[in-house]
Amino acid sequence: MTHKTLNLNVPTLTRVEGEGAMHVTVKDGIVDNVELEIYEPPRMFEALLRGRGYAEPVDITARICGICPVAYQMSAAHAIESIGGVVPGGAIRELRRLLYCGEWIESHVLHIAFLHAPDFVGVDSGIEIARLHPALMAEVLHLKKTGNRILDVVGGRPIHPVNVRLGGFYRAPTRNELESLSADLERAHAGAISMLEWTSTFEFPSIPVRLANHTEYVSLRHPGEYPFNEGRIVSNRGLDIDVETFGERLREYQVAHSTALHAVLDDDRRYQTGPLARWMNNADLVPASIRAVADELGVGATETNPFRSILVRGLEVLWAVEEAQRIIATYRRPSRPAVDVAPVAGTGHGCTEAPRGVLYHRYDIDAAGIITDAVIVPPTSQNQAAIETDLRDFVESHLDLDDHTLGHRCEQVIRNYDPCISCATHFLRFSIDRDAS
Amino acid sequence: MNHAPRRLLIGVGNRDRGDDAVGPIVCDLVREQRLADLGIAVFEGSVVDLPTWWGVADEVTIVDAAEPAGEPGRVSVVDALADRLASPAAVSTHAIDVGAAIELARALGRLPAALHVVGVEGHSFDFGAPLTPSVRRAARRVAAEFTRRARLPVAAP
Repeated sequence: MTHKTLNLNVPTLTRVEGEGAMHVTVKDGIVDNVELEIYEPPRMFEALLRGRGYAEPVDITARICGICPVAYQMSAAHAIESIGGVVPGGAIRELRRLLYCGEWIESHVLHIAFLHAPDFVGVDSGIEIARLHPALMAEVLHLKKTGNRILDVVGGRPIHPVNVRLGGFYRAPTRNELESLSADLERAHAGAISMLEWTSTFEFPSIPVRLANHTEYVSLRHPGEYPFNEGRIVSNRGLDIDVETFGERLREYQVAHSTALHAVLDDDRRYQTGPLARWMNNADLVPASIRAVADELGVGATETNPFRSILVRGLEVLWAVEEAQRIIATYRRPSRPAVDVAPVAGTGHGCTEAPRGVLYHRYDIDAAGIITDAVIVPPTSQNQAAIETDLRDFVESHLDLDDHTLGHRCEQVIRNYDPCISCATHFLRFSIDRDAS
Repeated sequence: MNHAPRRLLIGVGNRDRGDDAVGPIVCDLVREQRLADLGIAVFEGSVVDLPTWWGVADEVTIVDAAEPAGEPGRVSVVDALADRLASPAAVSTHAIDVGAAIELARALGRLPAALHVVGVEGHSFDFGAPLTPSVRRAARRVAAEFTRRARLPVAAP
């Protein structure tokens, strides 16, 4: 049926990075308004950081998210270290990448199997998937647990790692400690492939061609490796700037319907960040083993359908498992777990790839090492406008769907981005009022 | 897991959130007893992978804070093999709780031989707050009772 007038209201997106709701209004077959409403009070972390010591953000900002604390730690560390030109290398750099592998694995697997996959399977939860596919979900749980084990061994805890400091770590794990992960990683590798093969059987809704054509995909790009901590900010439209310039060109702004800031480049340049962007800008940097799996599953070097982001996340899980194996196989414990980072007055910019996309930090620090200003732009902020645009285009091109299916697909559109709000999107409750007069 | 039957104590909760720490603190108290053949695990974050921590022959006890209901420190014990805990209708990354994790284990066919959930009713969950006195007393009581039972032989599967 065709909706002449339709109001889709999602009153409660709970447990989000900012609690929120979603409203879509259609009038005379045209989408009149789309709002991703985040109404949770701001958490004031940037204000909290002002006046604190320059070494504290790695611990304070980790508490912003229980799923991706490493991203906050890494962006903070790189931003502050950059002021004095400190660049930890060798084993410390490798340990940071290993820690990030753990976070990508645990975060991505949770989203794939427990939040996103139920949409495609047609059930409400991962528990129901477990009833349908117990053997597969047992391996998925082991895979996720392996990610948390990496965080535990390298970071000191399976969540909110406490072993990270400016310049590196408080303690470097021994080779034996890292090798204790090897058996789990080998099993996790098989689990990641099984999970990928399963998700590749899903039916993916189509999107309007214009949606892909109108989107700019922004990510880090490193000359020689799939990006975690380092690189330039690039896009499919020729953007190629350093992190400092990215920070200067980022503009956050308030919208009336959300307490979470939106972000654009150059005042009005909307973009999206996350796995699709990373893959689009860096697919040539993954090992042949990952490329072969992608080819087998039909994942191209350029994927623009956000519903297929679940496949790219799966490939990133597989890549993170292999990267962790590589790092452990070549690890030599550093003579010192950290390099010294002295306070230097100035401004530092840091950008790393959180599971959900680019996470930008900026710190102004005085000569005494006190933070005078802090700016944190999480990927969810950057993606909010893209989510609203996707919703608008999706609804407009699928008005023939019945209310239930359209509402369900709108939830999927939001979950495609794995925003921190996706933690709650399984609690969406739609109230649909239709007036066809 | 194909290991010999063992006892496992799991404490769930955030040590920095007042009475939510009761599960981890019970684990601390039991750990001090240095009991042989006892596994102890603390979950301060997601419990979604809880089903991977036990074997099907194990005897598992989970201690978690229960929501306030007017009697802080009240201890309730649920046999999770016989009864189901109330759980959210659907699961999200943050919202999966012990009840949902047990249902996940049930769906996977990975329930242990014995599974008891001990709920200790909390009062204050403020950041940085200590355990309220009645909850602290309950933690000691739960730890002592667990220790007493743990000194008995594990039941044959």
